[in-house]
Amino acid sequence: MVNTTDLDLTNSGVEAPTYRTSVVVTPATSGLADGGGGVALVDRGDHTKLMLRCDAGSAAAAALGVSFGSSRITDSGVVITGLRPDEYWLIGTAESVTGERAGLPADGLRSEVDLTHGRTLIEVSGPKATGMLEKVCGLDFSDAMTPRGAATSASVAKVSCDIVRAGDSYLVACDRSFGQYLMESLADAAREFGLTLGD
Amino acid sequence: MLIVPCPHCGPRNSSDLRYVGESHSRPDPNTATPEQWRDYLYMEDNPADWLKETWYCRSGCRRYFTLERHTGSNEFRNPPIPGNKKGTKA
Amino acid sequence: MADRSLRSRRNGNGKGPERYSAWGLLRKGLAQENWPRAWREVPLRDTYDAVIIGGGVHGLATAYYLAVNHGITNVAVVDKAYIGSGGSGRNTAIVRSNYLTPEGVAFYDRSLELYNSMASDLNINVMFSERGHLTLAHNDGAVRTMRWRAEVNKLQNIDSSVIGPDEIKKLVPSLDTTSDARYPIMGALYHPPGGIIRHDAVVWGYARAADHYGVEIHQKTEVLDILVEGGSGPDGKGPGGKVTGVRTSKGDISAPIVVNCTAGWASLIASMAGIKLPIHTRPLQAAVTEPVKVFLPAVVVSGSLHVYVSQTDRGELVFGAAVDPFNNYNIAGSLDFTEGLAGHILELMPGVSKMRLLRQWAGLCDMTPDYSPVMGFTPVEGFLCDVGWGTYGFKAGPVSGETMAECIATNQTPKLIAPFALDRFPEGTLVGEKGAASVGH
Repeated sequence: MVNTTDLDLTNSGVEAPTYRTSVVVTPATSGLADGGGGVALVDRGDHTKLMLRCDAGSAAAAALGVSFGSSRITDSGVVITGLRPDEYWLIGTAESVTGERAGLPADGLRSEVDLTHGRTLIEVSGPKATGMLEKVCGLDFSDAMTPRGAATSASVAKVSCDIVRAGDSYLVACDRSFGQYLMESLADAAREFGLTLGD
Repeated sequence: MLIVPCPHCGPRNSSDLRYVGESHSRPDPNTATPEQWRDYLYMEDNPADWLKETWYCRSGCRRYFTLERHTGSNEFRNPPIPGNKKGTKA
Repeated sequence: MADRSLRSRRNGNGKGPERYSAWGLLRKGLAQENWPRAWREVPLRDTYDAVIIGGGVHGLATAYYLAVNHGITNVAVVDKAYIGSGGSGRNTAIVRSNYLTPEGVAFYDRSLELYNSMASDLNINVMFSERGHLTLAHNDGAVRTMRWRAEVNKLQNIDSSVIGPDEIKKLVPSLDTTSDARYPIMGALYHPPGGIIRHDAVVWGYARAADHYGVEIHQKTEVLDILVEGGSGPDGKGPGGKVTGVRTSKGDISAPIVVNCTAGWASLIASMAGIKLPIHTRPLQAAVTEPVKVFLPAVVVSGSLHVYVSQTDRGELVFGAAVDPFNNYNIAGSLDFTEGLAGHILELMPGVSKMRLLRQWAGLCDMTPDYSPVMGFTPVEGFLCDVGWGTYGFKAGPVSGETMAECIATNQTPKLIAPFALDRFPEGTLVGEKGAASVGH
């Protein structure tokens, strides 16, 4: 049984700046950005990432409304995705993720871990985002293999990453100790397409 | 690059997986003699033929599974197709 | 210690095979004479005192020392292809003795001693180049291990020491020893007696000398089965049994002794006798560049980068890597290996970026759980193994031959190879030789 009221992600007791797994934009990275707009990289370290482990057949999984390999965006803007056969992530602002979580059924065995501080999240968008990702990842990002809403995990620039094609952009998450490296690698890969950094 | 048919993620570069080795059934640790246990730990068939082996999908679904591969041609026999779990052991 | 050179151990009149010499070359050239065959090609007989499976450096050295040291000459060496077609002709020809355990050090030092005197003993130019061997350390932990190895080596009278980046740069100027490299070079284990040797000549030298003393070499003779009687397994094979002979593609041979020297194929041969081995087969890939002027004076090894490199006398750079990450009998090689290898070489030596690779190849390695070989007797009487050498069998060839020959002739396990017996696995007394090969672990 899970008590869904004991966890408030909006009040973690930690100040927001240190809570973030943000990537420092170094002169080396910003030097690569020419504002060309082919690929835009945004650090989403401030997004809340809540991991839920439960059986695919459980009531909680049914309520999440996604299966392994897929994702959806809720009305409140939370990305809900099935990243592994028994692992689901809720990605969004702290308020909206807390809200989505409150709507889940209380029964059934599951575990929840707030990964916000443990993962770096980078949003990759722009008309050349697919081409850039294919440079640094072995997966086929064509619409046939990785359509909108697809969720997968693979090595990106030799770092194990979770990748969600949410809407027009890709969300790429990795362990935060590799975050800075991943940002710099993606910036380097994006250079030939015209790179824009930040929002 | 060897492409490994992960039963969950689909075809993946072998660099995204970890090779665990030949699949052997583990003897019961409560009843096995030290010799039986060490036989399980160290001895291998190592055939130049079809081999039942365990892989771990390190960068993908993080599951262990068993596949059958020919150690000469590197071909997989009855490769699993994601969504169709028949013939696979998760 | 008594004189341990090969020559002093020769029996009989000490006359070796026909001597190769400058005078002989001149005379034969002027007289337009043909050279005699280096070894005979004779029909396979139906009985021998011993059959050695595998015509690589281990098998041929075993046959040679059986003949020279123990006078056992009624021996056949059989190989399914040609001699030196396996690991003996596919390795990167590096020899060294700076191992980690006293057992390992003693073993390889004897091997290096035999390699040192090989050219005169076998009367063939093995082109041994004692040029020094550097094992690079890229982090504090590796430096610590190097110091440990150096101290173990010094206790055994092996010339081995840890040197810093400045000295490394002096020895090998082409290495990037700057501190901002991706994998900075923080130090190295320097082993001056290490070097490279022409591996084909080693194989041919042993083959020629063994042939001279009466050993028969049968190429293109594949072993199809091993004949065993009285074993506890199916068909009378397996533990408790006794070897009676070998079935080959050219007919049956009866022999009381059968020796398995087949490296990557060891498990397949052993299973013919009903013996299971703690071995899995992995290819190790290597590559060679176009020849350039000599600029790399030493053998350079980096464990962290999984690469080792040396320059041949012809000027080609020879690269070796770690074993492939999964069991495999396929020696075709793979492109991702070449890509990774090139990247790692450029980390070490940015200056070679314009060089082109000529070719790549792979050899099969017989890997064991403790990175140490499996040598000596097995539960099948008369069936012996000299396998499990993994990535470093070539270095150990001569001393393995010498000790295996002693093992066969005396029917007792020599002290030098006692730690490597097959029964260490059921008994759980594994040997930890982490300094065995420089890469992969």
